This record gives sequence, structure tokens and C-alpha cells, in this order.
Amino acid sequence: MTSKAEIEAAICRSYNQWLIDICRKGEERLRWIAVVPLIDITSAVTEVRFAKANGACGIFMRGLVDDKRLSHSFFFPLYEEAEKSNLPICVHASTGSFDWVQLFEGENGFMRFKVPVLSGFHSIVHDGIPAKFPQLRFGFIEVRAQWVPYMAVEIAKRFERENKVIARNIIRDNHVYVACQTDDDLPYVLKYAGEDNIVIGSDYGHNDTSSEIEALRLLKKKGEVEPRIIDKILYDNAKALYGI
Amino acid sequence: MPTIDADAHVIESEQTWSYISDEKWKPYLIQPGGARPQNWLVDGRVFNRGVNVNRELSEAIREMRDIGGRLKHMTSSISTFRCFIHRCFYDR
Repeated sequence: MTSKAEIEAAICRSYNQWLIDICRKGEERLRWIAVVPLIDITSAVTEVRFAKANGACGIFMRGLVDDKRLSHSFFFPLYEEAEKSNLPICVHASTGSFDWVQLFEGENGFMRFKVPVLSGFHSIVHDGIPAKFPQLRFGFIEVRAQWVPYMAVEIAKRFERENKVIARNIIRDNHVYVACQTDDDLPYVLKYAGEDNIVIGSDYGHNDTSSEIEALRLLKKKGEVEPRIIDKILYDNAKALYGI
Repeated sequence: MPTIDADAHVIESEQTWSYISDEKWKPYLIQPGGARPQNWLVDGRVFNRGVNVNRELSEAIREMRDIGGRLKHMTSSISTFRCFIHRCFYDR
């Protein structure tokens, strides 16, 4: 939004305070994800502490942040504080790079807003961030889950060529959670993701390719996977992701 | 059984930035009027407002001025017991 650290910090704090006030009136049914200023990493750490103290259940990030990938060591203090605070890093459809947005200007939102999230996943897993922060959870939100099988096979192949240790389950073993959509091929996704790491969201309030206000109800109706697993997707897995 | 919506949004309004004490740092809402789109002006950059919005929901529910309405809709229409709010400013 801005290249000035003090303005970014003020905007993030105002946004977070606004959500705090909303959630306080939410009869304990609303929880919030914090935005943190990322120009000055010290301010990011301060904001994580503020978020934790005020009931946040996650930290919002974009798949690219300015000129940095999510595995850049610049973010390590943020990851360390999030891990300590039991707050997951939630990578949501969007990009934090003006250059990237400019590059795909005129196209639809796929490259500008969806692909950076997949890039974020690849950077985090390929560069071993989960091993550096073994208690830190990651959520990948609003990009479907259909990409999981592709990424699992692709990364396994690359790790094999690089003589790296391959996780038995690239999602579960890296403490990753992925938000699915009802038109994903769930049995296929679950084969690679496992049944404990898929969640679902409605994209409530938006109107794009991920928006499905009835998603939670429809998932139950579809009957493609066992009700036991549906219950996990609708509740247990999200509870585990957000640490609530 | 309770359910958790793992990805829900609120739409920013001028209220969102009301906690910023320095007026010159506040995102400024550009309202050209009529059917022309609104934009946010943030430190000299312009960002779309209202492009990716579900207009079937009332503005008061989208922007969380009507929290009771939102909770009621969560219960009656989408069966959610909890809702998680993700940041959406200029994301599509």
C-alpha cells in the first residue's frame, strides 16, 4: 500500500483495532486475522504481540511481499514470534508486489492474486521453513486445494533430484492447512493432503471465483467423502489451524 | 456440530481507518459519485474499492456496521457458528 514504514504501521494497527472492536460485539462467534506491517520487521513483531494480546487467531500474509519470497530470512523474526504466540501464518490470495501486479495488468486475477500463494507455498516448503520453525502452522487460503496433488508430486521430484529428504506427506508434515472449495476433486486432494489438513471457507462478502456463501452447507450435501472427514474439514481442522 | 468458516471477509470503510490519529496518513475515500467506482487513495497510490463485493449482502453487513445482521445470516443461511475475518483490502 505504501513504501513508508510509519504509514504502513498506522494503517495495520487501525485495521486490527477495527476488527478487535467488531469481534468484541460478535457474541464469541467472530475471530480475526491480524495484518502486520512488513516494511520494518520490528514493527511486525510488535504487531504480532498486540494481535495475540487482543485475541487474533492468525497472521495475514501475501504470497510475495515487495521483492521478497516468503522464505526470505527477513521474515524469520516474524515467524519466530508467530510460532511463540501460537498464531498461524495465513497466506491469502493476493500479492504484495506492485511489480508483479503491473506485470499481469490487464489479465484477470489468476496470476496477480492466486499464483503468488502457490509460489509462497513452494518457497516455504522447498526452502525448509517448517523445519526452522517446527511449531509454526501455515494456512493457504482462497486458492482452492486442487493444486495440492500437483505440488506434492512436483516438489517430491525436485527433492529427489536435489538429494533432499522428502516428507511422507508434504502438507501434514510441514504443518500446512489448505482451504478447499466444493468444486475441488476432494477424494483426489485428500489422497495427497490427508484428512487432517483441509479446511473450507465461504469467501463471505466477496464475489469472485472462490466465493461460495453456501460452501459449508454444500460440502455436506455433496457426499463425495465420508461424513467423518467432512466434519473434520468443517470444524476440527480449522480449529487446529487457528489454534482455538 | 459447530462449523468454522475459515475464510470470510469484511469490506473496509472509512470507519476502518478512524483509529489513525494523523489525518494525512489515513486512506482517503475518492467518491466520484453516480455509478462511477470508488477508490482509496493511500500515500499517493490509488486502490479499487468495491470491485470484488457480493452485492446480494447489505452494505451494512459487508462492512460490519450491522454485526447482529451478520451473525443472523451466518446462522440462518450458511450454518456457520464461527467466522474468521481475513484482510481483503485491494485483494481480488
